[in-house]
Amino acid sequence: MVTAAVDAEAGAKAAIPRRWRGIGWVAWLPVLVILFILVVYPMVWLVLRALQSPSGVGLTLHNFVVAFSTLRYLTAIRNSVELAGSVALVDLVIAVPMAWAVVRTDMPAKGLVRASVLGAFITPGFLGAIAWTLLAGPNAGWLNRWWMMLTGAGTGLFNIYSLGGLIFVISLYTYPYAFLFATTALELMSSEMEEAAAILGAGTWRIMRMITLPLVLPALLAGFIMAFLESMADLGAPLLLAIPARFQVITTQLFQFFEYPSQVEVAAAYSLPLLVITGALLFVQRRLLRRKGFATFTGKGGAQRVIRLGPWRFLPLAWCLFVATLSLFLPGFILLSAALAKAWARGWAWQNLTFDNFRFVLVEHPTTPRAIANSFIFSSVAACAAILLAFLIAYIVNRRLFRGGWVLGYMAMMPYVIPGIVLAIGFLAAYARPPFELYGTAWIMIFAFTSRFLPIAYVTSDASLKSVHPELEDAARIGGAGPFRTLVEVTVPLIKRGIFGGWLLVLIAALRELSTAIFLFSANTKVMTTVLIDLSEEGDFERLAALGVVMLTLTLALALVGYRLVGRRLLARAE
Amino acid sequence: MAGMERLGGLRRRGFLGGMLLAPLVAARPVAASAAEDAAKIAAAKKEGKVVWYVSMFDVGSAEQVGKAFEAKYPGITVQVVRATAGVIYQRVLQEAQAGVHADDVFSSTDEGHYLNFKENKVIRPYLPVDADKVIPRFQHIDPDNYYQIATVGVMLLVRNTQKVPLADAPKKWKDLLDPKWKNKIAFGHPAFSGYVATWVLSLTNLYGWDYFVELNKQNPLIGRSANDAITELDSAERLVAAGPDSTTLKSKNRGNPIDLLYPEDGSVFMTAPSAILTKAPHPHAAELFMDFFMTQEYSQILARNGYSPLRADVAPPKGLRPLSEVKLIRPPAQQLKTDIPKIIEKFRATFGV
Repeated sequence: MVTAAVDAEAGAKAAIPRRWRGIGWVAWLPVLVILFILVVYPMVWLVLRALQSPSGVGLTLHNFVVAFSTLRYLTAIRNSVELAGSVALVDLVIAVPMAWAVVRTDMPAKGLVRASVLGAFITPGFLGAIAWTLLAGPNAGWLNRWWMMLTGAGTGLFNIYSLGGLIFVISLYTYPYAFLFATTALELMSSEMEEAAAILGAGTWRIMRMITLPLVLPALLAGFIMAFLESMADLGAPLLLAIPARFQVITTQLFQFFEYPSQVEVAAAYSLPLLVITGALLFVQRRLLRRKGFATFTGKGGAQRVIRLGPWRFLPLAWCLFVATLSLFLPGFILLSAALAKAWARGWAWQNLTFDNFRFVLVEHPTTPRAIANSFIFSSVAACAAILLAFLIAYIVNRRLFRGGWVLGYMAMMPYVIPGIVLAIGFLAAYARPPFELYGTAWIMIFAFTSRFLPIAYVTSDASLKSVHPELEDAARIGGAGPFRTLVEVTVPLIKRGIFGGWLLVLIAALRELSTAIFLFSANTKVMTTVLIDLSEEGDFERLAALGVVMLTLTLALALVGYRLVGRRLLARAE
Repeated sequence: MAGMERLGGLRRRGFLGGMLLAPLVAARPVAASAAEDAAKIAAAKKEGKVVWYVSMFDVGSAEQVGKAFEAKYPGITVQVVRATAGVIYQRVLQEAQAGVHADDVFSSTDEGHYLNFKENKVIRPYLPVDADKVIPRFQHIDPDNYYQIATVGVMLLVRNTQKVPLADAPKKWKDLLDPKWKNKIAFGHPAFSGYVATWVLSLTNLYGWDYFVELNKQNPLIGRSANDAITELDSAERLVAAGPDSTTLKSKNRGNPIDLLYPEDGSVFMTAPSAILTKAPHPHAAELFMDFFMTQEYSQILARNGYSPLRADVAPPKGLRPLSEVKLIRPPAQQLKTDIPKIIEKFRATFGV
């Protein structure tokens, strides 16, 4: 049987390229051109910028010297690594028990738990950070005030303006990455091997440790790396929390390079080694996945065993609800009460209640209705473009259609290493000048969003394709279907759910995107997040909260509708 | 693709407009006659819009100004791009480098930016109609008329009225060094806010950098914009702050428990100027817009939104003193340009951020 599998694999490797050889460039060339436009060209400009002397004439390494010999800048890098590493660890601690309980156990209220994870994913970190300053501000935070009231202590319990506070807040809104990776892996894994271990006498915990965990380990590492990179590239939450806490991270430092007096060239230089580090990380991730990962979703089927926890089933539920309370219920409650207040400092009272803030942001405010529309238009167009492109690339890479096709996959992952601000500067440098002149148009926003979230689209497409063994496609080909028919009638239906999930992920990520948009928007292309930041700098908290509530409600509703649609269709097919 | 065409069109017009205007400006730095006014209005209407980069207003007030202008000159739309001083400054620089000219009128809080622009001819001189109608102190803030006043404000002391009774409140900036204010002070960051930068420089002129070294020992909470401090006071996270008069007044009028105090050692006087970009794509509409800053209508909008009016014939909003009765301090314009970058570096070294 083992021999047969190896033969099939070897056959697939040898046969498919031959079948595709004639028309290969038709698929290959446009993809390469588009990747060049979205990824390579802006990065070329970024590198040129890093090597440019501030006067604009001649090349120099001076910018690198400035960027990496100033102690303050180096400290910011250390802070970022510490922040991102801690966040990624905390994310796993939060998410793995949740994922396991949702997929493999009989924990009640799974739908609610999944919805709460989705809610945390949708919430932009900076909105969470604003809410948490109200909850855990050292003097006036509500949690601290309750603590002081209950215990009579003179000082509060939490200080959100600290590295710990920032790790806490970012973790609350990035753990869904780890959760998604873990649940996907657990869902795709059949429990045959676990059952075998059970038959041989291993207990639940031993099975989990020795079978389940090693099987999902690659996915966990992938989740760790994703969360690490995501928190390293976050600008919003550090902008709100790290500056009052008196420390810088890479992104806030980059942001400050663009303040007066601006040092754009130094910023470009400062950001370049990040590309290298993250490139290395992704390389490690690839190796790990290659060694440990294997197709678990084969043509042979396989059932999943539900672990019955008995009375213990409420324990994981309590954990899930605790996480949901911290990431959603408490911040949502505080935002909503501020959005409904005339002056939120006055607290709850009938005479302090008003809907004016909602009317203001939805009707009276001259730009928010347009910004809300812009957010949805730009994000959904970008999501379609990213998914289409990513699926093509993932297909080329996974089915080894061309020699060196993995380069395309690597290129598609590149934007993930680029902090949003830096991507924005690359785009400005590349596309604001002739012959493109896209500055101020919707196109530069859409292209930038597509580029920025191409990795998410790619990872999800790739994971979906990896879960389908080529033998299913081979069966279709043997049955007489052509390559396109096989793709459309076998491969795509099998991974439709994963692809739609990827589209949704990109859409949501683009809706909450701040750090690229803040540099690329213009009067006609404002989006919700840039308007939110405008409001946050104006000391206008009630209206900021109102727009935040509107944004969360709209995106959450959209995501739930999408989930329901796909879920129902999947159920129908299963019947 | 429509966007690309539009941008290309603007660029051409901007270029031509600049060439045509250059001799005009040189020959005629004085206010225009009625016939010239009519010609300018006609030309501006033909251009159809004016793009306004603005940092000193919140979005709401900025759009009010835009709407009032549109009502006065039907057919010309105002596009408001509102961001902090640092961000719009950077945008203009990036656009200039990229050869894109999107902006017509630039209104910001940091006079240093204007001096830089003036030196590099990013902005051009223009003396608005009725520039002599505003309070004399506000006229000719740039002797060569590269930029004109658009708003004035002061940075002053703000307190949370629930936690700090008037009797206990700090009366001057120096009082903030009193140990009783440890962990209770809030202010913004000079790299983010022109208001904060001017405030830091003014107090350095008054008391030397030691003042901020001592202030750091009080563990102040540092936000981004000058307005961030107001948010912290509203919630009683912090109790006293250096804040701008207009934001304080607006928050107070909404019912938040804060009030302002004019410090005895001087309120820091801020002028937020306005200028026309040399390569403005809508040069005539831009001039018309600059003229609008000098009108009574505009000063009334200012007063309605809690800002001090520019003209003496409009009363200041309730809760603000006429600036003629207040002790004002302010660094000279040249020092703003040369010293603010140094002050920002010093600030980062002292406060660690």
